[in-house]
Amino acid sequence: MRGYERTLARIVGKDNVSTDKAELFCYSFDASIHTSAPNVVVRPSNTKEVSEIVRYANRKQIPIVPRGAGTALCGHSLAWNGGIVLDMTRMNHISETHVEDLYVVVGPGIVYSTLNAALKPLGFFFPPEPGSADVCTIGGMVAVNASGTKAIKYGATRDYVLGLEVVLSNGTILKTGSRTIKNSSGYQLCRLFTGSEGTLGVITEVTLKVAPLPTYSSTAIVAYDDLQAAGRTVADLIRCRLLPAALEIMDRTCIQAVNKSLKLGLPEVEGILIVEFDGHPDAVRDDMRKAEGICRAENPTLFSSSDDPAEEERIWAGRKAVLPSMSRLKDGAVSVSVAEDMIVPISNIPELIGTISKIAKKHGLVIGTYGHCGDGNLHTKVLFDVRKKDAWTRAWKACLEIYGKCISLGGSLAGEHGIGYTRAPFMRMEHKAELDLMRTIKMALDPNNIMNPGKLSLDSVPKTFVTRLRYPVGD
Amino acid sequence: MCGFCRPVCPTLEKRGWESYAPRGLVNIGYGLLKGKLRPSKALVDSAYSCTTCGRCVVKCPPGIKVRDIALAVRSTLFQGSSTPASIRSLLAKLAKTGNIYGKENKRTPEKDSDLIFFPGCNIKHKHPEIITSSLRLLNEVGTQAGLWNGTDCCGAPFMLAGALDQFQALARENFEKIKSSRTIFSCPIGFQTVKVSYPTLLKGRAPDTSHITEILSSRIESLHFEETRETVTYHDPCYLARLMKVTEPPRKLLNSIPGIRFVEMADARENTRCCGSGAGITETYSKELSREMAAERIKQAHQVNADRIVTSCPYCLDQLSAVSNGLPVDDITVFLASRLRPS
Repeated sequence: MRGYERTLARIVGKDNVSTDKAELFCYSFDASIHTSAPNVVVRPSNTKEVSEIVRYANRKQIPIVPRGAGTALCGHSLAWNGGIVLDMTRMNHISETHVEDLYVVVGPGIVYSTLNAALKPLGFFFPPEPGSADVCTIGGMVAVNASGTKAIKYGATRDYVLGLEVVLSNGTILKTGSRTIKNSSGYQLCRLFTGSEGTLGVITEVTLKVAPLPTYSSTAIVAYDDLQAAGRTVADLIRCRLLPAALEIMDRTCIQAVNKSLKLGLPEVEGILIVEFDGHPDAVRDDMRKAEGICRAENPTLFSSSDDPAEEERIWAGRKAVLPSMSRLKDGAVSVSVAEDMIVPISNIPELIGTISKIAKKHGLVIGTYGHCGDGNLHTKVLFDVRKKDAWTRAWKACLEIYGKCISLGGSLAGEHGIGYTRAPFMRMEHKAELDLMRTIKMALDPNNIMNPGKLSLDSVPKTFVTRLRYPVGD
Repeated sequence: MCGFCRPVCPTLEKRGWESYAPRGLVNIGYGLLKGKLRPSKALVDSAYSCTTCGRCVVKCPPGIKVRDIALAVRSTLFQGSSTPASIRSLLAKLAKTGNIYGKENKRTPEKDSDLIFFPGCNIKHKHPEIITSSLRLLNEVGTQAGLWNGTDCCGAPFMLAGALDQFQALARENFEKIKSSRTIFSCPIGFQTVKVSYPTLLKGRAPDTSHITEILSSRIESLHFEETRETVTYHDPCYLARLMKVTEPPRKLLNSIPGIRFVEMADARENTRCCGSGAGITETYSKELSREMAAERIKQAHQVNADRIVTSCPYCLDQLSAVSNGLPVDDITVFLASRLRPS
């Protein structure tokens, strides 16, 4: 056993440390296009252990990379410079539940849907449901400020983080925020750590606001032969003062992928909207009636709504399966996450969708577009033969153009998936002086740059994302 | 990869490390195939701790055949002499005696019947009561079946441990006998192996095979049961429910018992939770791990206040009985036969 292994084993027990090559290989992947292996994986069970590990790593200047379920799409949880991966999934407790005060206190390793299953009997929930709800951990959600289908009405993770316990790079255990649903007591440090992607510290406990669980909902599926019409409908729904619990879009490519994967028989039109309202039954019915009128103004080929939970679930099954189903669409092509999380002001959705379609055609790529159009957040999946170097070059050029358009519309690189490594090359396009300030903050909190180095463009701006790919790329 | 397989994996639930996740096993398979990895403790552990229950395959939207990858990894390990000692010992017994217990392979006398009941190693040597009950029930529905008089084993342990040459030899021997008759199974592992793996491997036509619950439920009007007041739940074996899609016949049979209160556990039918046996392979590799998985299923039975668990796999029966802590666990044929109204 090597020296550092002995030290780490003393902290967490030898069964919670691994340097086995096969284990390191497994931790060299997440849900991104990249691969990069750590030197050691450690599975701590409490904050004190995390603090001791981080203090040791800081002394030895060993990189530390926190990891939840490894569902990150941009390589956030990969050890870019080697070092220690901290698998936080053992810290999966719910330590306190106070629904009367609208909060719970949880470990970072608890899975999102596990938390909501525990809250459901109490009539509460943590709303920002991401697509990976059954898999992803709360710590990972805080790290990237994740959200999902419900963000239009309920907001993102940052809107629910009341307090955090964070182990700083020198091992100090910091408690920040409060157990109150608001405070105006100085810098809002919870917001600084939320979305910091493990670059400022290791989140070891989260105090989360919870919301009353709606008792009634109704969901509609609306099909359009014209994607622009679908996009215009989204803006019209918002303009008419409707606030859906979810408002989603899928283009033809995504619909085909889901039909192929799940055999759902969705109409293969240019665009499908999914509109959900929740709340008091009378209000929901009223909103759905108004929404139907607005949707029908753009001549959909289908408008079908239901308040039967089984039917609602069937409608949602298609949307939720888009991301992992895309790889089934075309033989020899793999669906990759490269420009998959742009966000623009809501009314710019039709323009962005149109531009993405043109860019795809220009570069000879298949791009599926879907996402939370109700909050301006579009996801894309780019399909190509990942073994071909030329295809990666075309994908890179397409991403540059997509991000350029997105920023010109007043948008951002990422709505809910974060930056990680894959999006780091584009950070300067969006952030000018702001990136310098981020780097100053990083230096102040982590002078030895041990906390998840290589991410967020804080070290340097990478020239491309076409590096350390998990795929065997030839000519 | 998306990792959507993580929440349904019974092995990952107990062990936690990424190498135990189906996604981890897929990556290990890739690493081994590409020469990036060599057998190591974590690699072998990953391959044999997977119960091959296939729940991840159903959950995987891109449809990655994780089960096949697990078997390919085991085959590579077998070829490189890296199969764990406990599994090697099991294979040696099987090679020597024709069953995984190393017991004498007593042949039953030939009976002139075109319908054969194939018990398999476990039922023949550990649960002969299932043979008795099965034949009695078949008789009750007007079917006379003879007993298989070939090698005890269907060969699944060879296949599941990656000993493919030995599997092929035994499969060929059995296939020749089976294809000329209709064969009934109570053991779902044998059922799946003969019905799916044999024809795939030997490129032959699928033999005429049925699970006993299919036969009995199709002639349910011939079965007359005594009234019972029990609350019974049914544990779907992975091989029967998920791999062979047989989920309704056992329920139809149980619900035909007058007065029975049938309750459904969470994770039922094709979404069933593995008992941890892995068709005897994971159980042999790590009894501790497999029993931990079985205990989770028992918890689910308690959650629905079942008085009894009924299942239709001898391996599930062993696993659940071992940790049921007094909660009765029965094979479906034994339970049904015991509730038959005296004629």
